[in-house]
Amino acid sequence: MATVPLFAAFEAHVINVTAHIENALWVSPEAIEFGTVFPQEYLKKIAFVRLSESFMADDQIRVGIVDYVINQKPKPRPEFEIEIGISEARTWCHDNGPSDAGNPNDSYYDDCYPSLCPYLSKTVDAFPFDNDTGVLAFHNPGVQAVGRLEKFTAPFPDDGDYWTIDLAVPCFEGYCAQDWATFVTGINPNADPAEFILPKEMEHETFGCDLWFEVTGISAPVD
Amino acid sequence: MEPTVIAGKEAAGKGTPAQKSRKKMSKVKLIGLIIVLVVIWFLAIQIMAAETYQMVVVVKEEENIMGVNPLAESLDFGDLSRNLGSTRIVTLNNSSGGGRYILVWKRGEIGDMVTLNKNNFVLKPGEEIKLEFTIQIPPSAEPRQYKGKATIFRWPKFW
Repeated sequence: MATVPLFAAFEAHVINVTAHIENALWVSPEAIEFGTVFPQEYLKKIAFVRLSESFMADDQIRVGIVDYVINQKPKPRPEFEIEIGISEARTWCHDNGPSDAGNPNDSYYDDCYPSLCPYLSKTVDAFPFDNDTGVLAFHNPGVQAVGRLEKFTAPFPDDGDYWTIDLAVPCFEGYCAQDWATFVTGINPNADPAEFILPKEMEHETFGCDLWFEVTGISAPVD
Repeated sequence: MEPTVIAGKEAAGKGTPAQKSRKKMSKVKLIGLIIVLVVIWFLAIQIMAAETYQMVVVVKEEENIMGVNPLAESLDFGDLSRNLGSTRIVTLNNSSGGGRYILVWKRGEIGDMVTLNKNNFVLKPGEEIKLEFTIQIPPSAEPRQYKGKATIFRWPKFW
């Protein structure tokens, strides 16, 4: 009997460390290889995100809405990912930058690819509900595409979104075609074409960008 | 009768070497038993206080399916096609006055597919960390449900 209070006290001591699962989760789409591309090419790939079968189960009625964003960060090189872990490597590549963006030998590029993020657009189907917001190419890399999935919408659920990931290939300083400005503003009328011209020294380099879907919140079904 | 009385006196006092040895042995046994009980008690508390989560993923035959389930009842990685990855997060918070040694034990058929950003580490007093459980579906995975469990032990740091 004497061990009972001791047991309880010790257990209370142990559970001073709390653990809980977050609603936030990340899903990475399959790697999109655009291969060798040419300035002002325009390429498209599809990514499909949806609610899982377990979430759509009939007995799951507590949560009906899932909000998410499409995040993007400069892509770490594989050796760097292995060295410090993928999350840390992404954060490092995002928080740091090349001291000379036009120098392919800049030490930043030893660990991270030159960024392809500003040239990727994310456009979404507006079916069955227009509740998602895409991002056009030639954008500030910090701008996020936002999506919402809903289980209990009528007449049928909004349980999946098709996203089109487009690459509008930039041109290099001194080698841009005459219609470069039209190409840029034709895709994003708010973009300044001069801002998205790459230094000519970066020609022939491999560019990269990590994209992932991140759940940012859940909520109960709307009555 | 007298020699018997003398023997009784001897037993009540110093005792024979054989009796002394038996007494010593029973003391050692008692101490051993107490140590074993304390260890069992300590382990039982650690096991009972550990957090165990169900891990589950459904591998889909179709390409590029990303089905999400953000509910926090389990480490549900949703429905995923081969070659895709997903990360779930468990937040650990140490509100005690001492450090805690954190050990995560994965088991079940899903265990080999799940990696952690951190394991076998010390959580300092007042510290909060996010443990990332990342699953990567290998190209050879069969299209079916994979299950397993993850147990998080939180041992007091004595050293």
